[in-house]
Amino acid sequence: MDHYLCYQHNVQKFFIRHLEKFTGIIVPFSIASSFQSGTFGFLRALLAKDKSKKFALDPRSALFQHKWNRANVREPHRKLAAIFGNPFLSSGLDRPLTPDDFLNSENLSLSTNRCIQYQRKFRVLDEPERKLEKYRKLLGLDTMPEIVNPQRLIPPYFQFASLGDAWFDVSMRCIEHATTLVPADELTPVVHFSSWKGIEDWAVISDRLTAMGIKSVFVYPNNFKEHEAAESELQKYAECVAVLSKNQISADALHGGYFAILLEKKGLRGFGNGVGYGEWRNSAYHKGGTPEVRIYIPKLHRFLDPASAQPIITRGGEYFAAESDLLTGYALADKPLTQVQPQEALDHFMWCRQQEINFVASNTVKSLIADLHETVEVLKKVGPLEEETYGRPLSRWAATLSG
Amino acid sequence: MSVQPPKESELLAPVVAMFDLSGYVTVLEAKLSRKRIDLLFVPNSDCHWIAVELKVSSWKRALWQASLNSQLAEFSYVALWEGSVASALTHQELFKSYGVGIISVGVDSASIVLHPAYCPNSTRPRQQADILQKIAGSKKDGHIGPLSLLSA
Repeated sequence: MDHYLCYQHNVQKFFIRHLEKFTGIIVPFSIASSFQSGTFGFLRALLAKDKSKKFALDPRSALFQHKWNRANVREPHRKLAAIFGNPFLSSGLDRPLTPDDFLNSENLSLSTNRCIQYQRKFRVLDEPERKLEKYRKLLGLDTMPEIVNPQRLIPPYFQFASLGDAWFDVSMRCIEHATTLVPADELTPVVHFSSWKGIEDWAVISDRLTAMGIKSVFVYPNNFKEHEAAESELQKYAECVAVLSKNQISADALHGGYFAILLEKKGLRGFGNGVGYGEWRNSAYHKGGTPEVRIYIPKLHRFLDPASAQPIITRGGEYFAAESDLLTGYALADKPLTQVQPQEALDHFMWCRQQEINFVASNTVKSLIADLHETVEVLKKVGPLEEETYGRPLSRWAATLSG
Repeated sequence: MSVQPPKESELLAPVVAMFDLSGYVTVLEAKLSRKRIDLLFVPNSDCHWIAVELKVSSWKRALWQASLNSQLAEFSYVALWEGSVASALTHQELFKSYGVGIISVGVDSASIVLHPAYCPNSTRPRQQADILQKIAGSKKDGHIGPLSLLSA
């Protein structure tokens, strides 16, 4: 299963150290445009280490359709808008864009052109040799070859609530226009929607994409939290993957966690996450920042803040700690998890994630379901609140997987 | 005539007044990783630590937080507005299973209606040491940071 890591410029060493634990990189436009030399230099060197790694630049264009405090527009927002040109630049920095801003097909084609061109040019940027030298050394390369890795191109995309939402049509038109610029099989559009409930028939989307020659998509339900989702939403997710897969469109979840990994069994090709975060994302979120330390609990398949993780390890004992060197080490030494350092937590997460991917790949659906049920049974013994909070999502996942 | 439930912050004074706090430092919103303990009584000597989670209603959320607080404090309570206590007491076995006590808070007084149980915890001493270090640092630096001290 493909595992994309979302790039942040402040965790470069982490990408190097865990090079073998991910298969692709997704770079947000905002990072690429705000830290262009560093991002390009690092990406070029990293991709040279493994020429099979895929990469994509995520336009995150939906940001401009949302309400946020535009009195607080910062330089990264301006740089991002400048990539797309108008109406992003002329209107999107002052107010939320509307579908009417794209009634003029010139606007739509201009933004799409600029978005695709930016991605194509990024791989062959002409950066001064001395800047690239830093990254050549960082990655321990003898030379700095040009990027030859497979790049997925992403047209501008917008969040739509339903198939009748005008934003759906705008997004589809952006994809259509992108197919006039590059071969359709180089495009992996992002299908970004408000919630699973809003999309009644995935065949409509699938048929429209197929008609354009699209072979792959990133699926992006806004702010979708696998652990909080109702079983009906999870079923919709599984149906979506099945419909796309049946129509020969390979689907990746742009953001996902263990449930996305489980959906490999239903045909999901891959998923993305950030380094220690990013299993969901609200496209209206317009700030940055480093997340606080959170600890991934492999048996729960979720991050917990150290204070919440501690009772699980203390009361749940070996079952929850045994699979992890970090958790075992802290438990045996009676060290509180509040003392876990950020770097330790991130390394631990990457290790856990790889174990999860391997575990799903090497087990049958039946045994994956049994594993989830087993954890729920253990949680019942830990405490009723833990069973309710952490166990029920696992039960819902198991039920969806068995359907 | 029904009494209007107070704001959560209004529960604080009756609860603080209920405890004999000689020999304790009172810490408001003590940071426990990403969470905050509403009220933490830190002993100056070798006594037990006490944590209190204040909630007007939502006893279950309060219990959840109080159960986390017990990793730091030997005795952990939820303090509920008196109008919400009956509902919590119907689940007192659940509270007992987590060793969490219940304080009923009225307009100007508070009382313990379920005593907490002492639960041993192997990581507690180190967590307490971390908090003490932060308190010492806050006093030394002349700023309180995440810890707000009240005179006991």
